Amino acid sequence: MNLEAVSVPEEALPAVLRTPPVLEGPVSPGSLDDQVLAPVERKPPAAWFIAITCTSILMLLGLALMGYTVATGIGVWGNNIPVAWAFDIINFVFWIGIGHAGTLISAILLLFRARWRNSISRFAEAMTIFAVIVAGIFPALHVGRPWLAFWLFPYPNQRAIWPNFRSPLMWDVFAVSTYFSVSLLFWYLGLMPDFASLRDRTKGRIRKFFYAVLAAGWRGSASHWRHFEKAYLIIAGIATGLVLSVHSVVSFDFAVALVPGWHMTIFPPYFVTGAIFAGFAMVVMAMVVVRETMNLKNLITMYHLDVMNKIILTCSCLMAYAYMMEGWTAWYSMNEYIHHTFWEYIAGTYGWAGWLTITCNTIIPQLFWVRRFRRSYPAMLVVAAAVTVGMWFERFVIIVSSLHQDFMPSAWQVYKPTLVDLGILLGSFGLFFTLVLLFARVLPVIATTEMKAVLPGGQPRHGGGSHE
Amino acid sequence: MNESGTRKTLVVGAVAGLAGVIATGFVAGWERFWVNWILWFVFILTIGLGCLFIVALEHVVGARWSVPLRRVPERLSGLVILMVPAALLALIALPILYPWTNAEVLRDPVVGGKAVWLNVPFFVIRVLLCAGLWILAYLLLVRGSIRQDQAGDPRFNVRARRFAPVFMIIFGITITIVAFDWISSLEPAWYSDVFGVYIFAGTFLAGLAATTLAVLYLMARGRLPGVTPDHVYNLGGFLFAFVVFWSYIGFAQYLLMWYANMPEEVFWYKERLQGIWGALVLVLAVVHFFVPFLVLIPREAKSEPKRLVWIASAMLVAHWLDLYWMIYPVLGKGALFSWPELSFGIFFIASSFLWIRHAMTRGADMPVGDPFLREGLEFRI
Repeated sequence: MNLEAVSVPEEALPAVLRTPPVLEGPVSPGSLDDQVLAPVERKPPAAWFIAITCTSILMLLGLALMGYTVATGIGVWGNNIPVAWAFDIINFVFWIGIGHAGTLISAILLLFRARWRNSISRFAEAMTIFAVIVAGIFPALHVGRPWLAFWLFPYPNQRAIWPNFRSPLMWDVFAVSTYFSVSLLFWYLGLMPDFASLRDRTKGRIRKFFYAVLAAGWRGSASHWRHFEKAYLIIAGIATGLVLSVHSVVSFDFAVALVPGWHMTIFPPYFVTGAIFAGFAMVVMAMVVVRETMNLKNLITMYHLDVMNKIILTCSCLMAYAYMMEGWTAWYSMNEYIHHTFWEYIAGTYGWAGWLTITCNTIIPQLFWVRRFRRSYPAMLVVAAAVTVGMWFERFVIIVSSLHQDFMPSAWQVYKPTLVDLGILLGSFGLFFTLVLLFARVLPVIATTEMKAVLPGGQPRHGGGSHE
Repeated sequence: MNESGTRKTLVVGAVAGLAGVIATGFVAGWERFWVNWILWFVFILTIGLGCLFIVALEHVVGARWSVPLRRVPERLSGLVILMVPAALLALIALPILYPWTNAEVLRDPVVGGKAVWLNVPFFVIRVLLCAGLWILAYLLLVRGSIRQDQAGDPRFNVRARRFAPVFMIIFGITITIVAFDWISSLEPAWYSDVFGVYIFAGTFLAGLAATTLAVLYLMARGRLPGVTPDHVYNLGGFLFAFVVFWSYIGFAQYLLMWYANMPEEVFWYKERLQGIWGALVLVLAVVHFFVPFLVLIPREAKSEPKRLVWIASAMLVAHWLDLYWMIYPVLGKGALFSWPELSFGIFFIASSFLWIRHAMTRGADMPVGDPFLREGLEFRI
C-alpha cells in the first residue's frame, strides 16, 4: 500500500484535527528542572503568605469548632432524628470525591498513555491525598467519641467484640484506608526521582538531609529505573481499580439501605462519575492558579485545560444521564415512597437545593461544548465553581432531603445546620488549601521525570521509516 | 475452504436455519419462536451497536492508534442495519411475549401505571426512532469513511469529529431504550436504574470481542499490513478493562438488590437464581469474568493471537448467555436448548456472516483515505 499518497502533513489538516504539543516553547531537561524545582528553593512570594494566612485562619476556625464538638458532643450540630446524617457525611462524601480526579489522572490516564497528563498528575495526586485526609476527619468526628474510633478496625481484642462486617460503613473503613495507602505510595514513588534531583541541587544542609532521606538512595541507575517503571505500572493498575471501588463502597452506604431515594442500583457508577466530576473541577481551578502564579504556562498549557474541561463536560453529561435515570426510575417503579422522595427532591422543603444541583451540574457545564469557553479563564472558573457547589449540594439533597421525611410522618422534621456545621465545612476547605499551599512550597508541583519523557527526543522513535 | 465454498456453506446454513426457525413456530409453539427471535436479534444488534460505538469513540477522543483497525468495526456495525427489519418483525412478538400488552395484566396498579410508556404505539415509535438514529449514524460515520477511501478528503474527519460526540448522547439514550424496552419490559413490574448501563457494558464488550476476532482473522490472512501486536495489545487491554466494567456493574446491581431484599425488585433475581438458572449464573461468573480476567492479566496475553481468539470468542458466548439468562426465563419452561435454539443460532449467525461478507466487498480493508492512517500504523507501545 502506498502510504505516502494518503498521508497528509499535519499543517495541511484542518485546525480541529491537529494535535497540539503537550508543552510549548523550547524546553530542555535542564531548563525544566530549573523551572519546576526553583520555587521550592526560593523564598515564596508575598501572595503565597497572604493566601496561606487566609486558609490557615479558616483551618484554625474549623479545628477550634471540631475541638468544641468533641468536647461537647455532636449535639452541637444540626443532626437529629430522622436526619441522623447531615453535614458530616456530606463533607465526607464530597472530599473523598474530590480525590478521585487525581487517581484518574495519575492511574487511568497513565494506562491510556495520555501524555498530556504528565504535567498535571503530581498536583492532582497531591490533591487526592489531602482530600482523603480531610474526608477522614468527618466519620471520626461523627462517631462521637473519636478517641474510640479505632474500634472500627477489626483486631482481636479483650472486649471480644468485632465490628459488623455486614455494614457498609465497615467496608468504608477498608475502602478508604486502602485508597489512602495506595495513593500515598503512588505519589511518593513518583516523587522519588524528584527528591533525588532536589537533594543534588539544594544548598542548605538541613534541606539536603531532608530530601536525601526521602530520595531513599535514588541514584538514577538503569536498574533503579527499570524497577521504578515496573512498580509504577503495577501500582497504577491497582489504583485504577480503586477509582471504581472507593466511591462505589461509599455509595453502598446509601444504596444498600431501604431508604427511598438511596436504594438505587445506579448509585455505584453514578457516585464514581460524580466524584471524578467534582475532582476535575477542583483540579482545573487549582491549575489555573498554579500556571498563572508559578510561571508554568509553557508546561501546563491551554490545551491541558481544554482537555480537562472536555472531561468535565463528559462527566456532566453522564451526571445528566444518572439524574434522568433516577427520575425515570422513580416514576417507573410505581412505588409511592420513591415518588414522594423524588418529589421532595425537586419540589419539597429542599427543592431549591435540588434545582441548584441540577443547574450547576448538568446545565452550566454545557458551556464547554463551545471551544472558546473551554479556553477562557472566566468560563472555566464559573463552571468549576458551579460544579463544586453543585456536587456538594447533590450530596445534601441525597442525604438530607431523603431523610427528613421518613416512613413515619410524625417524625418528619426540617433539618437546619448550625453555625458549628458551617464553620467546620469552611474549616475543611481551609485545611485542604493550607495543605495544598504547603505542598506547592516544599515539593515540585510537576513531576519533572515524567515531563522529561515527553520532551522532544524524550522517547525513542520506533519504526520511523519502515513503512516505505 | 475456498471463498465460494464458504459462501455456499453459509447460504446452505442460513436456509437450513430458516427452515428450522419456521418449524419452531409450528412444532414448538410461537412463544418459543418469538423468545428465540428476540434473544438472537438483540444479540446480533448489540454486537453491531458495540462496533458502532467503537467507531464513534475513536472520533470523539481523536485516537490515532486505532485508525488502521477502524474499517473492521465499521463493517461489523452494518449488523445494526441488518437487524432493523428483524426489530420490525419482532414487533409481532409484543402481544405474545410482553405482558403489558395484556389488558388483564394492566389492571395491576404497578404495571397499569406504566401504560403511558409501555403501550404498543409508543413502543413502535421508539423502535422506529432508534432505528432511524442508528441508520443516520451509520451513514455519517461508516459510509462517509468508505467514501473517503477514494478522495482522502480530511473534511470527513472533521464532520465525524463534530457528529461523534452527539452520537454518544444518542447512543446513551437509545441503548437504554433497547435495555428497558426489549429486555426489561418482558417483566414489566421490575425496575433497576442501572440496567441501561449494564446492557451498555455487555454491548461494548461484545463489540470489542467481535472486532478483536475479525482483526485477528484479517491479520492472519495478511489483509491488515502494518498492523502490529502493539495494536492488538490495545484491543486486549480494552477487553480486559471492560470485562471488569461489566462485572462491576453486574455485581453492583445484584448486590444492591440482594442486600435490600425488597420483593418488588428482587423477584427478578429470584426467578433467575433457581434451578438451572442459578447454575447458569455461576457459568456466567466464570466465563464472563474470572476466566478472561485471570487470562488477560499478564502483559503478553493481551497481544497473543491464540489466547485472544479464545477469550474474545468466550466473550461473545458469554454475552449470549447473559442475554439468554435475562430473556429466556420469561418463557417459564426452564433453560431449553434444543433444535429450535440451534436453528435460530445458525440462521442468525449465517445471515450475519453473509451480510458482513457483503460489506467486505465495499471499500478497502483499512481506511486508506484517512490522513491519520500513517500515524496510526506507526503506533508503538
